[in-house]
Amino acid sequence: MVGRIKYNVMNDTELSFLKSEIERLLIERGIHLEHDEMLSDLAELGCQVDMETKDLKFTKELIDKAVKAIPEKFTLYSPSGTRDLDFPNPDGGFYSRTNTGAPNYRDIKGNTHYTTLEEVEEWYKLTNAMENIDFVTLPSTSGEYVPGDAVDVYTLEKALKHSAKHIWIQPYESDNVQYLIDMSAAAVGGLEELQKKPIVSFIACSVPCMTYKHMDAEILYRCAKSGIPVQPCSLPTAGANTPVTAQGTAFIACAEIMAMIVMLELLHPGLPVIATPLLFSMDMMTTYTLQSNTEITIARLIAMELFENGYNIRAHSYGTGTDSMEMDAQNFIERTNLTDSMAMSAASILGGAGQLETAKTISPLQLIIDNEIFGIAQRLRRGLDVNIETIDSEEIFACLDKDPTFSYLMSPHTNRHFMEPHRPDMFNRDGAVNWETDGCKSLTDKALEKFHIIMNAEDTYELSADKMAEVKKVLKLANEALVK
Amino acid sequence: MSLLNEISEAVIAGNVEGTREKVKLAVQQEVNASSILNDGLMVGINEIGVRFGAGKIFVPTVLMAAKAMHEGVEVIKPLLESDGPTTVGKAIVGTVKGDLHDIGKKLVVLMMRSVNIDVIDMGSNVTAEQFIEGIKEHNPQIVGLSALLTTTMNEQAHIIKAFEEAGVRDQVKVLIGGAPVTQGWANKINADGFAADAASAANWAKEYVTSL
Repeated sequence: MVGRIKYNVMNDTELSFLKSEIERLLIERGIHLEHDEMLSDLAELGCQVDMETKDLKFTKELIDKAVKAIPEKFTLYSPSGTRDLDFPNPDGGFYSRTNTGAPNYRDIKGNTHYTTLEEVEEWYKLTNAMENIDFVTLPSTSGEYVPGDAVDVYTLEKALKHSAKHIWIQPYESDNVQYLIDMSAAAVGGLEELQKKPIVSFIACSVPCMTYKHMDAEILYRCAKSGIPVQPCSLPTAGANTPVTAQGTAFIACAEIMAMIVMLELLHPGLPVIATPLLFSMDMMTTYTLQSNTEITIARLIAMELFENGYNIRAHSYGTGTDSMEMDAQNFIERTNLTDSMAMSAASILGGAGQLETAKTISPLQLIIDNEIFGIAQRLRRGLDVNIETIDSEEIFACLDKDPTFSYLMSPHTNRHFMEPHRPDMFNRDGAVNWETDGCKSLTDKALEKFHIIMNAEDTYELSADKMAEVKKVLKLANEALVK
Repeated sequence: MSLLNEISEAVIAGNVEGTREKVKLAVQQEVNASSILNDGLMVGINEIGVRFGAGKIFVPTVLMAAKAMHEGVEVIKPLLESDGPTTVGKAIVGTVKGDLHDIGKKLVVLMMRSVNIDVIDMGSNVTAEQFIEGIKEHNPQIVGLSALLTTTMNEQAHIIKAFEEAGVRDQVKVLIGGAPVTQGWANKINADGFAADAASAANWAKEYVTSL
């Protein structure tokens, strides 16, 4: 049995309480939505809308109707067709993704700087080769290297050209949203094809408490109109813009996401959605925003349980990451603790691969190591079956071991199962003598070797020239319209 | 313990009501208003600054102490007006155009206020023109520019250039901050200072205005 190990961090009473408080918030307080067109449409669909204040309230009937409309099964497609992601994950595992939103890139020499377009290409060559990374985000290319008004469209062009895996898009400007959709459509032969097989999905973010700025509302609205999947996201910081308690922060984040899901399903019933609470906390001494605070990790588990178990909505959160600046001991303690905890949650997607410094820096070497960490976490979630075969009852009761010629190394049971243990590619599994003979390599050394092997190999995927030409046509239009 | 000491202790404890009442009592007892400010309220807030700098207390404690001090200042303000302002300086702070993030900016506002700087919060998505209007209207010594994105940090450079073109650059010191911002970036765009966090921003501002 796969996907069997799951933490339950709330009891039934707590889960019911959280659901009812979220729905009460949507009904009694409602939201603030800075998008007139969307407000009008939602008013027509039955929401209580004040067009002057831009405030909107839902009813219980609308919430129930929206939840009912969420598809139980859907697929996020990959440009290559080789890494399509079926939800729910058929083998009970989770999907993983790279970090999004980091301004900095730490190259293999350890230099940290704003991300260049060349590094974006390097990133996608690496992610294509990572067997345990299932989809990708857009690195935040610096406005120093491409026009600042069109960073997202220029970066998407690279993603569409190079990524074999599904692409999660984070727009930076309202005006850019439609161009990002149009570029994605161009990459697959038109909007109809994109709707049938969405190779991209979008992120839209709320602003605590219960506010949706025009840009994010525009993402929700355009995606709903175009039938493009959305992973609605809330990024609260406990103590800064949400309650200092991790539970309170989870409550607001989940309510904000629930409001987005309800709006999307009212506007486009059946649209694939994935709830994405990415919770942070503020350190009360330094005021720095933290990703790896222990309580906030538990709050992520609460959020996953709420959506996955409470609403049967697929959910997504951080699965790896650190507040450390470096690939040091703190980094690996924090990210493995987080990954293993989240792997035991009900989450369908775990994110953050490659990130350091509270998601502000991405590192190719960390990405390669995260690929290993996610592999271990997937194995943990699958758990172990306990039955006659797996406990080897027959051999033991038959006293085969009493035979002087018997060896477990050569037993029929071993022969059937010896390939099963997970074996991370880059971990040391040898004794000191061979390790020294081989140059005393650390995990980071091996990650560096793997980096060079991947970068020296042929590209495994590139979008066809005719499709790329269509993408470039949209890019040209976007450039003319957006770059001031 | 003298009444002035009690005022200091009330500020340190973040006791808003207690500070207000003790300051009122001091006024009733005809303690000089400048003495209440300098030997009572300021002693308390300075001690808070020392403890925070030493990593002994947390930000909410600092902010509550600042709130208590301001309550006390409000009581004696009418008596102090002839002696000049009760704050040590003035700043306008905002998140630059195109950027809607304001957690860090709000923290800077709070922390600057906690060191007794009069701060005008310009909000987020603030244009160069709005900052220039703010300088002309409020006459601050410091302008704080916050940007969270690599795409919007360029706006910090644009705003500084706009200050030069509008002839207001020499009137203010420009302090920049935000997740992607570094000292190198501050040097490159001719900013006067860079702060990595809200407390550093407040310290930088206090040091500057008290040096004038």
